[in-house]
Amino acid sequence: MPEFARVSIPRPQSGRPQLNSGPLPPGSQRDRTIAAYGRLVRRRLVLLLVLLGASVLALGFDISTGPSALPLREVWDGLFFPGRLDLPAVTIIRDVRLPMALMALLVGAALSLAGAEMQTILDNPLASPFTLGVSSAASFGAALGIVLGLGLPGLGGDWIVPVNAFACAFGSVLLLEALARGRAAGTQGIILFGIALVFTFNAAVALLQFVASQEALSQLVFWTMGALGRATWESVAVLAAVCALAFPFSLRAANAMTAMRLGEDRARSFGVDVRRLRFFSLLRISALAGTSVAFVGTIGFVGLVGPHIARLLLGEDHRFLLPASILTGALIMSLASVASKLIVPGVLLPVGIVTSMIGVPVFLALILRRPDRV
Amino acid sequence: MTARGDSHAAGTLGVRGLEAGYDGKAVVRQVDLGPIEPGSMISLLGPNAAGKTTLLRALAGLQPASGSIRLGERELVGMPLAEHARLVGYMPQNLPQRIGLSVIEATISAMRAAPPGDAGQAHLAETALDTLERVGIGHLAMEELGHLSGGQRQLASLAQALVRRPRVLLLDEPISALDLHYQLRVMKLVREIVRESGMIVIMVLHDLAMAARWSDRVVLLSGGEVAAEGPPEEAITAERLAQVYQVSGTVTRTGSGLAIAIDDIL
Repeated sequence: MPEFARVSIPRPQSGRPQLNSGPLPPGSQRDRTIAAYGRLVRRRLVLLLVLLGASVLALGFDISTGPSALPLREVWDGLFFPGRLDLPAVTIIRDVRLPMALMALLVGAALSLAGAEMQTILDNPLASPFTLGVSSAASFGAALGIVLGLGLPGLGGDWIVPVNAFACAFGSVLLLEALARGRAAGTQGIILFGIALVFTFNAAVALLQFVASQEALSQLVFWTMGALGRATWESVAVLAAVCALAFPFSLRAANAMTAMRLGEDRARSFGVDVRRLRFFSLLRISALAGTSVAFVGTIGFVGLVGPHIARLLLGEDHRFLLPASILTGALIMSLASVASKLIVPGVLLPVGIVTSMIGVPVFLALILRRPDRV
Repeated sequence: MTARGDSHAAGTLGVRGLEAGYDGKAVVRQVDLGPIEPGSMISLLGPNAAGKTTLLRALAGLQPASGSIRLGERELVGMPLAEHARLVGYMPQNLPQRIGLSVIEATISAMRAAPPGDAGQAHLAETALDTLERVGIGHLAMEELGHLSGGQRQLASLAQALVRRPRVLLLDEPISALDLHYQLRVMKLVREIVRESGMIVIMVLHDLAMAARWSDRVVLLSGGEVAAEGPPEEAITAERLAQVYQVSGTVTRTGSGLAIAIDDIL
C-alpha cells in the first residue's frame, strides 16, 4: 500500500489540532496549485466584469431598438447630453424606452437571482419562480387586486397589486419549502407539487378572467403573457428598491449557500443556521419574484436559464454564482426585449413569449442531461 | 499557525443521561459515555436502528437532545450551533454532491460557511491545501468534485471536516463507500491525526473487526441504549454478539485486533 506523503504535524500547545505541513520547496506542485486557485478566482472576477459590460451594452441596444431605430451614439447623447438632440428623440429615449429597458434589466436580474437561490435552497436544478408556480401565485394575487379590488386591509391604490403578488408568492414559497423539508417528496415531488401550483393558480386566474370586466380582462391577458410595455418610472423605482434591498443580503448569505450545496447536514456542521438561511432566502425570493410579476406579469424561464448559464461559466461558489446570476438574468432579459421588438417589425411582442422560446429548450436539456436528479 | 481562541487543554468528553430522537420519540435513551480522553478513537457499534446515527447527530448538535455533553469545561447541549461547530466536526455518511466546485473550493467553503472572518483568500487556500495534502489528495485540489471517484470524494469530505480543526470529530460510516485499500487508508490516516493532534474521534462503523482494530474503545448500542462499553476485546464477545445482533459466532484475539467468525443467526 502506498504511504501518504509524510508531513510533520506539530503537537498542539493548546487543544486545537494542527494540520499544517512543513514548507515545501518552491516551484512544487503545491505552489502550482495555489497559483492555479488564484487564477481561477481572478478568471471569475474578469468574467463578472465581462457580464457587467455585456449587460450595459445590451441595455444600450435595448434603448436603441424600436419603431424608430436610434444609433447607439444618439442613445448615449439622449441619456447624458440631452441638449445635443431634438426634443422628440430625447423624449423617446428618456421617457419611453429607458423605463422599459431598465425594467427588463431589473426583472431579469430579480428573477434570475430568485431562481439561483431557489435552486440552492430547495436543492433542485429545475427550481425557478416560473417552473414551481411562484410566478403563477403572484399573478393570482395581482389578478385578485385588479379584478375584485381585493387586497390586504390598510393598503390602497397602487400598492394593492404588488403587495398581493408578494403575499401570494410568499405563501407558495412557504408551501414549497415545507414540502422540501418534509423529505418525503424528494426532488421529483417538489417539481410535481410546483406543477400542481401552476395549474391551480392558472385555473384561479382563468376564473377571475371569466368574471372580470372588459377593462380588467384586457389588463389581465397582458399579465399572463408578461410584457414590459406597462413599465413606468414608478414601477421601475419600486423594483429597483426591492433589488437594492435584496441583493446585499443575498450576497452576504453566499458562503452559507455554497455550504448548502455540499449538503444540508454538512452546512449545519459548519455552523450554518439552515432554517434562518432558508427563511430569509424565501423572503427574498418572494419579494423579487412577486414584485417582478406585479409589474410585468409572468415571465418564464429567466429564473431557470440565468442561474444555469452563470453556473456553467463560474461554478458553484455562490460568492460568484449569485452576482453572475443577477447579471446573466439582466443580460438575457435585455436581449429578449430587443428580440421582442425585432421578431415582427413594428410589433412589440410580449417579452414572456420570447423568454419561453429560449427557456423551454434549456429546460428540456436540463431534464435530459440529469435524469438521475429530476 | 496558532490555535484561535482557546487556551484550554483539549479536555475530556463526557456524556451523561443523553436522550435524543425524532418527533418527541426518544431513539437513544440515557446514554452515558466516557470520560473519553483526548487522542482516542471510539467506535459506535450496533444493529440497524440501534440509534448509532441519532447519537452521533446529537453529539454533532444536529439533533435536539437533552442530558449533558461536556467537553472539558464546556457544556455542548444547548450551545449555539455556530459555537458548537467550532468544537465539533461531523462527516455525514453521504458523499458530497457532484457539483461544479473544485476540491479546494469545497474545502475553503467549509471554513468560510460560518466565518471567524480572520483570514484572507491566500491564507484560506494555503490552509485548505495543507489539509488536502494531509489527507493525500493535494494533487486533486483543482479537480471538480463531480470528477472524483467515490473514495476520493470520501477523502474530500474528510478534509472538509478536518480543515475546521475540531476538538471532536464525528464520522458516520466513514469507510462504508470504500474499497479495502481506501478503508485502511482512511483509518490509518484518522488514527495518525488523532494521535498527533489530540483530537477525539467518534465513529459509526458496521464492520466489527475494523472497529476492533482501529478503536481504543467501542460502544455497543442496542435498542437506543448502551449494551456494552470498553476496550474492543472486552466489549465484543460472543455472548454480546448473541445478545445484540442475535447471531452466534466466536471471537478470538489476534495480533492486530479481533478475529470474528459468525456461524449463523439465532
